Amino acid sequence: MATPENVKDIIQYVPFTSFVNPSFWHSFTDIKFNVDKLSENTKQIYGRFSYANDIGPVFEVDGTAFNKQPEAELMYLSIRGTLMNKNTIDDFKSIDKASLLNSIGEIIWHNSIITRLWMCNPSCLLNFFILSFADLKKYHYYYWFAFPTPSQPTVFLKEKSKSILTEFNESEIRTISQNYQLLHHSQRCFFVIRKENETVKVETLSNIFNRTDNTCNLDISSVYFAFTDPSNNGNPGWPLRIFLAALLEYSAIFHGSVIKVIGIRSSKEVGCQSSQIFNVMLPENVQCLQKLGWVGWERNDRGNFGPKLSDMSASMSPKKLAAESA
Amino acid sequence: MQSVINTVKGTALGVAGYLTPVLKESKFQETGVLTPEEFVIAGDHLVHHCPTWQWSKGEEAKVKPYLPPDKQFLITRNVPCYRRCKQIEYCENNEKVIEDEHDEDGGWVDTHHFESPGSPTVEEKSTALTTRKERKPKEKRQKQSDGDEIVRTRTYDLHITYDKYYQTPRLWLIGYDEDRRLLGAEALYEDISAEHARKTVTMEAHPHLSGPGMVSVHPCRHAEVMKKIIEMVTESGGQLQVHSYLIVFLKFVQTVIPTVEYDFTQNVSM
Repeated sequence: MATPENVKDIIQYVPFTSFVNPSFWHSFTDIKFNVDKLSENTKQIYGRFSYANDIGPVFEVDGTAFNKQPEAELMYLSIRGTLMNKNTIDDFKSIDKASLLNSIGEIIWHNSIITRLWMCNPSCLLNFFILSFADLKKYHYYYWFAFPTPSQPTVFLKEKSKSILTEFNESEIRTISQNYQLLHHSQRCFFVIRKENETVKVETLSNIFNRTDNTCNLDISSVYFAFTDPSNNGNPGWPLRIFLAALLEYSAIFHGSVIKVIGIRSSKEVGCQSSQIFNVMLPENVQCLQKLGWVGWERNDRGNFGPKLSDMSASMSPKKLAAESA
Repeated sequence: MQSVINTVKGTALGVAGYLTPVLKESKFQETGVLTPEEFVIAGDHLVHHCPTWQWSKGEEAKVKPYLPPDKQFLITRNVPCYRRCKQIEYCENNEKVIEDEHDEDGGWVDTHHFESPGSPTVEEKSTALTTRKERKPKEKRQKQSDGDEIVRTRTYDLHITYDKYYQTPRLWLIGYDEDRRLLGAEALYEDISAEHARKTVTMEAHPHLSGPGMVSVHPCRHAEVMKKIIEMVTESGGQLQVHSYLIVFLKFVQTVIPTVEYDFTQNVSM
């Protein structure tokens, strides 16, 4: 995980670490008993991650995940996701995880990338998925997060990532911080920073890309592609991966080019001064990305691909609660 | 024992809170309590002056009708807490007489003498009613191999809800360890000053979030303390306005959680 030392290092994206607040399982159990019952329909939920550099790439869900409208919280981005709960442990175990992820990926590919919906609504590129099984007799919850993204392309860093302070001065960074806050929440995942004659502009993707126009005349050396970055080390966070895939799919001008990317990271006192600049070398030969499969299942605490377990019996089991209050 | 009493009391008061009518007329100056409208005014003021605080909606299923839907309670996240309470507690051994002369003033007492050089020191800041502690990271994580310079520490999410029964604000604490796992109640009590743990601080159900009991500062004395502060301010010729309620409130609950370094730099203008 060390910062790349030799040039032309393969980008290592920092994966999300999921964190499930107990209120999520309490809310879910209420809904399961009272609304869903035996239905196995997937549910649309919300989760969030922070770009504050003192938290790290934690992806969090809590009781508010089931709200109809996500909350716009300071230093956080809300992301839409899907909860698929299985009624039996066998269903949970036997479901083909790879093809499940591929089928989710295909939906994202067709609905968000091919249609270029991401240009006007960048947040549609970011998704999460929870596969779960709730053992409601023992109050054991098995769950597995996925953050779907295409497995390709492989991209390289032209040089070691560097602080935003190397290319922007303090007042420019202040402008970026302020204008970032003015962006609508759905535009904050991915956007563009332009520096022209000493003025810095923060622009939405729809300002520089035309969704219906196939000839992209953008001078890519003139812009910084920016994303809200949950990582806090020398590597970029997971969200960048699907953004690069979407850029490559959109136009051949990105093939074989070097682009400047800014990972927006923030600290309480000084705005986005801890942001990082990555010089990313994109590959020349890009095959159809969609065919190459999707990745993103989270590793569990032992570092393997596998589900995690929340044992909620201490706070949910009526027997234990009765024993404790006696 | 106290915690059992509090649990039983908490449940009973949950019922009582359900039955208690919503306070309609302001009784702030007389008794130190708040109406929901005044809570919103004080909350707006806090959010304006301390931008790390913000309004939250909570779970949609638990929205309380007497508060605006998007202003159900106040929240500030990821507040650092570098030290445990027992590290700053008064300790007799640390008071060392450094002058032995038997003059009438007695010897000087060095109250901040600590054995080890790494021990925390207390630093007085000019903030009214409070002392802020020097930031001294004690909880450096060992396994930092990737060269990131971020000091990992315990963090807290703080919530302020409106307690319908006591008609005062109520503070909630949700703690996370260095690896961002939830702190259990025992670990969390380490950050609560000894005279308050398990007495003023209890585990109860959060009004806007599902889930197991959360740690909160019991509001039974809040109105009383507030009333005293109002009287003090009035005696000194000033007037405490209702919109500064939460800023004053946060200052007096800090005695309960002295090591949690939530952001407020404002002096109360009295």
